[in-house]
Amino acid sequence: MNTSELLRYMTKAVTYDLGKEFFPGMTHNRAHPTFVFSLISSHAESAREGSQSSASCFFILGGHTGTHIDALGHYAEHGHVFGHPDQSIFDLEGYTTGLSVGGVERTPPVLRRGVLLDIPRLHGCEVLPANHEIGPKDLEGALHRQKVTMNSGDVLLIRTGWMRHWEDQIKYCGIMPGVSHEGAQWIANRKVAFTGTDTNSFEKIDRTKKQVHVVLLARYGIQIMECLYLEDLARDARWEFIFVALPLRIRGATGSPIRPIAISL
Amino acid sequence: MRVGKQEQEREMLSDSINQMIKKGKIYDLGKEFFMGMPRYPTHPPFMFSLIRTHKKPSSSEDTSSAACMFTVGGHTGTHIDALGHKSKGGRVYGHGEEIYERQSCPFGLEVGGIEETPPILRRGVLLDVPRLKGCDVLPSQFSISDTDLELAVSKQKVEVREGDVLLVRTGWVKYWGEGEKFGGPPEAPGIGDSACHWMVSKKVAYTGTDTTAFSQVKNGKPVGRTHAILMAENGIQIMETLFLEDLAKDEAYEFLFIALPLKIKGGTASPIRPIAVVY
Repeated sequence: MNTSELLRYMTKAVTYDLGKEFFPGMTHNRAHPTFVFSLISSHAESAREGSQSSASCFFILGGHTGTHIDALGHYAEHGHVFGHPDQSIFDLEGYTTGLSVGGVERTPPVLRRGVLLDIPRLHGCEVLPANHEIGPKDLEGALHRQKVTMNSGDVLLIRTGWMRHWEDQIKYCGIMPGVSHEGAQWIANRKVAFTGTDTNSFEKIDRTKKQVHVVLLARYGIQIMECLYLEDLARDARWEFIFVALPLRIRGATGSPIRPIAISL
Repeated sequence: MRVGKQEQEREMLSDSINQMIKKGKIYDLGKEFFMGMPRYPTHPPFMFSLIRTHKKPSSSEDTSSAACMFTVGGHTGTHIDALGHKSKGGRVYGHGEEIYERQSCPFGLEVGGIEETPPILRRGVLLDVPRLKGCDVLPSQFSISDTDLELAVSKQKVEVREGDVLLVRTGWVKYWGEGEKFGGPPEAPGIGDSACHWMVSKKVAYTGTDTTAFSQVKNGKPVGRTHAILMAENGIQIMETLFLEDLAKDEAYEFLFIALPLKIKGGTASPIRPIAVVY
């Protein structure tokens, strides 16, 4: 194959949009700032200058607001972020400069094979209950049931169905299903490159009390995507696809908003 | 039976495309966002702060996390304009009603907002105009014409087809580190109106360049009516502040172009980090 053939196939494929809309009042976790938007100049104002007019806008958002990807430096263990065992993050951060190591600008464009594991489908329900811990048994079970293989370097997406509660901020950001510590270890053992889910916090703190974010980000260098829209992929039973996410290169940032896609042939 | 065969073919195709992704070369066409980054003067500066640092003085925990927030203009840094960014005679492309009544500061544009832009996944072509002229960077008074694009096409032996993303290089991004000279220059090279008409005749789907204004800039003002021709009259969205240097250096003139604008409801533009994939 060559570039022309790549083009022929890729541009004919079905694209699934995995990003949610950003708008004032959108659901957000209260640990992060809300989305703020305004036009800075409107068409009506600029129209006086002639028959052409233009409008422009600005907005404020948190690195972890809406559909986003966590930078490796979002979490540290013993003061170290992934890939920098000899440096203390406490000496490498500043309010206006952000993180000097592990910032989201170091995340390469993500263009990889993606796999979706649909956990509610495995359990014969639409949405997992709020107390559901996704562990190795669920992940293995879904893999087996969906007859899909996972390779090292894949992007692993895990559906809980919780996106159905998106409009209800209190419910969506409240107690929610998530990946357990053992589940995270399973993900790490599979050597996936990135992982993501349709909830706001990915994890479920289980009896080990260990934070999944620390395991995946700080210990194994596996970046996490949250608030993904996985409903259409699940409906169409597209378990394997080409996954693309292009995080903004925000220097020193702990996360970036994204609008990922899944390309299905 | 038939479905089974199709499934099999799809798997084979998927395998070969996956192989290709692994071996393909990805060019990053987005610039970094940081405090003090160059910007066009009519748009707000990029502002950033951590809202929580890792350092927690009284904490005995062995784990920590940090989080951030930022303020960004839709047209700051590498970005794509929404069709509703520009109107002609009060109308934005694809919508018959006057835009003046269909916009508001808190909610933006009711029609033509950036959330209407689909993920962009198309054949891309780079036309390197400085190369055509035998220079590194086009001079500040240079306006790119239809003839320049036509000549670049023949010199580079590349074809521009309907539905393509057409990227045009001026080389001006060389001055990125020089603040105003890049962001809001008194003079800068850019795309002329005849080049825009040429793009329209080629039926390109999107276009973009490596300056902040797209149009040529003279006395601090954009020249011509490029945005009106492309966006308001023909529905061709514009990307600005693209980093095209690596593509040009490698003479990668044909590629798979991907850009995924954020779905900012009613937004006039979105920051992006586009890529070009070459196999």
